[in-house]
Amino acid sequence: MKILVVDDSKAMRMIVKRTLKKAGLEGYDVVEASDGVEALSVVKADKPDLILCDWNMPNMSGLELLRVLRNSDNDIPFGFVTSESTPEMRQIAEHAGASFFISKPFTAATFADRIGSVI
Amino acid sequence: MTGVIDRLQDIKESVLEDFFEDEFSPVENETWISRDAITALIRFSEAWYGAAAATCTPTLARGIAATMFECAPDELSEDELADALGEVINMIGGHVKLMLPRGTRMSVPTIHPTANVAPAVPGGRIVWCNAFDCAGERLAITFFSCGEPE
Repeated sequence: MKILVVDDSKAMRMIVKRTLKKAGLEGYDVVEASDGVEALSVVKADKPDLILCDWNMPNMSGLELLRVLRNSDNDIPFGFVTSESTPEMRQIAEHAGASFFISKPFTAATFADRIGSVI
Repeated sequence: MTGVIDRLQDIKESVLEDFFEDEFSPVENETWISRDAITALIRFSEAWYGAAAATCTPTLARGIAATMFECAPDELSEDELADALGEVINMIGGHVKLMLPRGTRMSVPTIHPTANVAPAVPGGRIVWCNAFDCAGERLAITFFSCGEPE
């Protein structure tokens, strides 16, 4: 099973991977993308079971990526992992089809709770 | 601004220690005197104008980045260092942004090889500044407002 981590920060992708391990989710393969455009290629090639995605990214944002996926009838579980978490953003994310919204800084317990409920 | 200051006061517990699992001890009444510093800066705009900066010694910057990248401090590239520090200020900025007026936008981080980023925040007034000690190295967090004084 695969989890796709999408973030333009390599440091944050590493932190997310580490937190997945701490959350007991180490049985999953983790694939990465640095923006929404690259993520679409990875989704097509690797067919991940879950996407963990940053909100703000160059080329294609996380929200744009989610909308492209949902508009093409791809219902892959999708969660945002982002440093900004206003109520408006959460509402927009939910309306666009996100399964959950995790704010940075996050803990392994939060990952286990949110991700465990969708996969 | 009171809500923002409250939010800044708990940065040590809510951002720094939760995430980095290091001990950050507040340092009272200390002005940044080291010439050797690196600062990550984010700007707020649209509904509210200001900025937040995280300044630290290069040693601490490399230590934080090495933790993130799981490598030795001297193995880091300058891009990786900037990436890691950018994420630190992203988290601090995101933490504070919840208390800023609705519609406030947060910029991507910029990295400056200095402690004095005031010139990069035209019209900015420091409304909060606290320093922390982490294993003998210093981290200072500064919050600027570019609006009317309150």
